[in-house]
Amino acid sequence: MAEKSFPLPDLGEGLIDATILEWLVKPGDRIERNDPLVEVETTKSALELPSPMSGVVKTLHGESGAVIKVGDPLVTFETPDAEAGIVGTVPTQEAPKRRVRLSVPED
Amino acid sequence: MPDSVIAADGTRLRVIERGPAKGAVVLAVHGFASNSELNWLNAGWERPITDAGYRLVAFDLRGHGASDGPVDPAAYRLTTLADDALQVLDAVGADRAHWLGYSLGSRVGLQVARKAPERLRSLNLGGTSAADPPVERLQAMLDDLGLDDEALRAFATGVSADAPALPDAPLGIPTLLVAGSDDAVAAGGGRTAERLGGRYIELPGRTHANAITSRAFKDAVLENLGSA
Repeated sequence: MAEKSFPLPDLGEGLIDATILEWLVKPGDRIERNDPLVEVETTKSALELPSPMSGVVKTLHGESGAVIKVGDPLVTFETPDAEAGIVGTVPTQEAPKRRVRLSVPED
Repeated sequence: MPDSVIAADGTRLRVIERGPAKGAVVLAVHGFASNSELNWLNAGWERPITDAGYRLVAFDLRGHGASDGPVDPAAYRLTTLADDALQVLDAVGADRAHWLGYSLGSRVGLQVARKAPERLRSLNLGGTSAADPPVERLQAMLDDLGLDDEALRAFATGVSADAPALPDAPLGIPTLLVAGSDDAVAAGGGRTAERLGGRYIELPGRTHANAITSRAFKDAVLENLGSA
């Protein structure tokens, strides 16, 4: 299993962070892209953020009341290995006998 | 389908429509210093309402959002705002509509219930109680939000000119009031709901500002719409 993480997106109007009001999903939920994900509150207003992908929720980065900065991790999904995102598990290897060039996984 | 409506005095009002063309209309009216996008779309109301088969019609109150903003306070009387809403309903071909309001948008809904109850299928009023916020409180809101806008200042003055009044009860339509437990503006909503023969739902821990995204609020409204 690999993972894919998403940050708190840019909320516009020069806002730098938001407070988590209420999560609308929990770890283990299988959800679709654009399903309601979380309610957040900024100094300007309250927003309902949609899910950025379809998949199984793995980690919610902050409880109700937590302040998250724009750009910091908000939610992590499990992904099948074939669709591994940037945040994944690094395969272990024995010390190579000669120098080996490792290729970076395609995103 | 219009994306704007011209009111009787020539003021242009921006209208947003979503959902099945033949669905029963839910007219969504935002609060003071907000607009349709902030209050409804960004707060996640489109999907629950349209998935349930309703047509969501939201308009920006005069002085707000993408609607025209006259600078004369006299342009913002509560009766004028109510007339604007009825004009929008006429334009989208709705004889009757469900009213979904927040804060000032709820106040306008109560005015429509007073003057033209035959246009309403249900009343769904968030963030309000029996009394209008006085002009000082609206002006203070603008200061807090850092909004120095001539139209909004005129709006605050104009809309506060009329004494608040409730429609005669019973209204005969499903009526729901919803407010955060920490909402100072909407204190007394339970009593108002009782006077109107409606239900009152309180959202634990929510304030005037953050009640608008609440799932419990949305669920309560969907249920009230369905009971009409």
